[in-house]
Amino acid sequence: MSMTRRKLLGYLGIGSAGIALAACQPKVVEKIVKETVVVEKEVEKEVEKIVKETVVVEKEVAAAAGEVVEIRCTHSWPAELWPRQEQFDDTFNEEHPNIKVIGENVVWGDYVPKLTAAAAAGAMPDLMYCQYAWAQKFIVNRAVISLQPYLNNDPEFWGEDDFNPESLKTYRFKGDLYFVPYDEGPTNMIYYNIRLFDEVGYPYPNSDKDWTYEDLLMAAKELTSGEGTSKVWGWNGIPSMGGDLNMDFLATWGARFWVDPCETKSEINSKEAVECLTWWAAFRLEHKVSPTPAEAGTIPGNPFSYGRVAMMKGASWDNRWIHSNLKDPYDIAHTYIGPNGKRSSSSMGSGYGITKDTPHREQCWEYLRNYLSTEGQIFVWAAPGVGSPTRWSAYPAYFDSPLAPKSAKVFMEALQDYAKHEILDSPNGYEITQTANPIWDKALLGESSVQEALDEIQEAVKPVMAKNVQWCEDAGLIE
Amino acid sequence: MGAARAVMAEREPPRPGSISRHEEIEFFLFIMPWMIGFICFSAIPIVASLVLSAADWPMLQPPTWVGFGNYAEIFGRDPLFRKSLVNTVYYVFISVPAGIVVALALGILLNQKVIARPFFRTCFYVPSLVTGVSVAVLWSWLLNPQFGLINHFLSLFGIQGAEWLYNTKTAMPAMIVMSLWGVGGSMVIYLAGLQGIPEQYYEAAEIDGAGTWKKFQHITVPMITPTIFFTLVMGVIGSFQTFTQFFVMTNGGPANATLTYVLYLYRNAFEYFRMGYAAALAWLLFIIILIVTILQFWGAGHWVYYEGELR
Repeated sequence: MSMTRRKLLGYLGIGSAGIALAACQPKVVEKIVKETVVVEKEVEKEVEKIVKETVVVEKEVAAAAGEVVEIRCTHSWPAELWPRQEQFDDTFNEEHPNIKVIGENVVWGDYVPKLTAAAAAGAMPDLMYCQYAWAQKFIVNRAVISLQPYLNNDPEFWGEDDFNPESLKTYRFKGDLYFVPYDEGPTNMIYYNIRLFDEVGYPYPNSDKDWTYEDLLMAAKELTSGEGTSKVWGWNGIPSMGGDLNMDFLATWGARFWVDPCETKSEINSKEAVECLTWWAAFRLEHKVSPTPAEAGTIPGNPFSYGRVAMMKGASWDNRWIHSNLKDPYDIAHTYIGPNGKRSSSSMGSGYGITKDTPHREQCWEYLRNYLSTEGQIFVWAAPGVGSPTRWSAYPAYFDSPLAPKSAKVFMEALQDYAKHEILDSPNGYEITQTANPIWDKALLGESSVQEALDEIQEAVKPVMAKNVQWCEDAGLIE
Repeated sequence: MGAARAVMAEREPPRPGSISRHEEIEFFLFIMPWMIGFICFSAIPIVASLVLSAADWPMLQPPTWVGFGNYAEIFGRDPLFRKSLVNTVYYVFISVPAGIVVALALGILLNQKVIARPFFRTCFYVPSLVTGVSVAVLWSWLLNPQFGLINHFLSLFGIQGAEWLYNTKTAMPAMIVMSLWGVGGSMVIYLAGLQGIPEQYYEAAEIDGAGTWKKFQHITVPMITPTIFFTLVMGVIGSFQTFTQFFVMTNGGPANATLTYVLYLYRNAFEYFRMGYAAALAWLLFIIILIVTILQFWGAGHWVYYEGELR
């Protein structure tokens, strides 16, 4: 709400009249004085707001006058990717003498606590990286601004057709986009170790025919061998109660954990869900083709990257650490066909947004539109083979990257064909997972039946999911 | 110098028991750094956390007042509060007495006149200097079901080792065993206590025909009850607040078997961003520890003996 001088004088007039009346009627006066105090407080707030806005405008004017504006951007890159980020920032700073971007890399595990603490202290960066799971929390609490006005006025940058539409879902609120994504990857791809397949003489996934879920189990059994410290497992990728549960596991069985986009209702103990998760739990408990946490704990990292697992469920960005750790040749393949005769996968990603208190919104947008342009995505993300970009136009560079897996095209095919952004991305999504997982652990440890565990989860997540109702109403997802 | 003496001579001599204004200023100047630190980093946050415990504060927006709402939720509909409290009480009730027994036993052993006594004392004390994440990582490997030294040691006697941190039944006992890593600190306190027992008490008991056990039971233990009480109180307070090892080694798993109170508090504060709720949990923990400590002091009157005390 803007404050005109006329309105300001009006408020002051009401205040003065209240004080003048104070001399007449004690009770009436008391009421008027109270109202006056309220009005005066409102006036103070408005004046404070005007002053703040004036400061912002002054700063922007100063920037326009040729002063160098510093903007701070937080990222959460693995250390080995940071030099690439610095290269990009250096180039940007050279090309924009009036803007100086200062990048700050925050360790993944500390990112959200640090940003949240910074928000509480009024010390947010100007620009921020954000993963899908946290986005709505920052949006609904108004920590970031809507980028829609910038997007609407920047057709050169915003060719919406160039963006994977699934990648935009998490970052919308009431129709506006608050973060622009830089990557979106399918999470249910099959990574396979070529050496282990060749040793057994087993055909690679989907090479002889399109694998079904039963073919996957059969292959996992064939590829499991050895005992103790030399054991090799056929498959690593047992479901947890995480954000990928619906699309990576339950969907092809006709089941769902959360059944609405608002994540307010669960059907995790439905007959179909129990069947599906019983089938998957048997990988570990009955067939013993997947490592238990105790067995996996004997390996100082992911067992697949140590050549101890023949196949694993993975996302496009997993390629980075597999490539740098696994000594064996490997490749990726489409996921298996589920009981409903279809393939299914979640897709997820991350993006960047502009924080609400930055006085340099225009400069921030200038950086974002460069950083998340096709060229920017190619430079930072696609060309180094880090993962699947969100712009279709950046894909050729990704396929050409020497670090991308040989069959990297299946990522794009999966995204175009069956991968969906149906993931736990509500503000309470993480708490839903944290509530459900320990109960699911009991089933995976064989301490309770799958049915018992899922019944317990159904009850346990109810109060957490109920907290999403308010967010859903605010977001305009329900009336 | 002469002028200074003259000025000093003109001053009134300070009254007995009183301090001059100059000394007062010096006193406040000396304690000022600590006072500022205490007010800024302890007193204000303590008061702020009490206020916040009555608010809903997601940190990204200003707090909103909820009165006793957080406390009502904790007691009314939070099963993990109960679970984490039960886990913590289990840990406290086993690890603290176990720590006292082991530390006292080591103290008694290392109080004997044996060869290379300082060397052994150092050996047993040094582990307590290594704390935090490094110990957690070290013990993660010691407890590894396949490669760990503990299971390897057991296998030498034909015993099948447990899955330790990966099993709901053995995870907490494993953490309790690990807590004994730091008994070196208490051991030194017990050593000091043991060395403070006058030798003539033992000589008199020997003349009266007391054996080793009788001397331990009727002289050693009563004489070091203040030391035992001190380590008990400090151990209980510290164990209620245990966090780092659980955070690093199990993160509360498997199946919340090692979800401790402070770990749950941390989750609410820094993973769910329910800072008001976390503050309420913190104040409840304070009250629990306060009550337990008061009970310990009340009980101490029945079994702690102070030299020179008349009963």
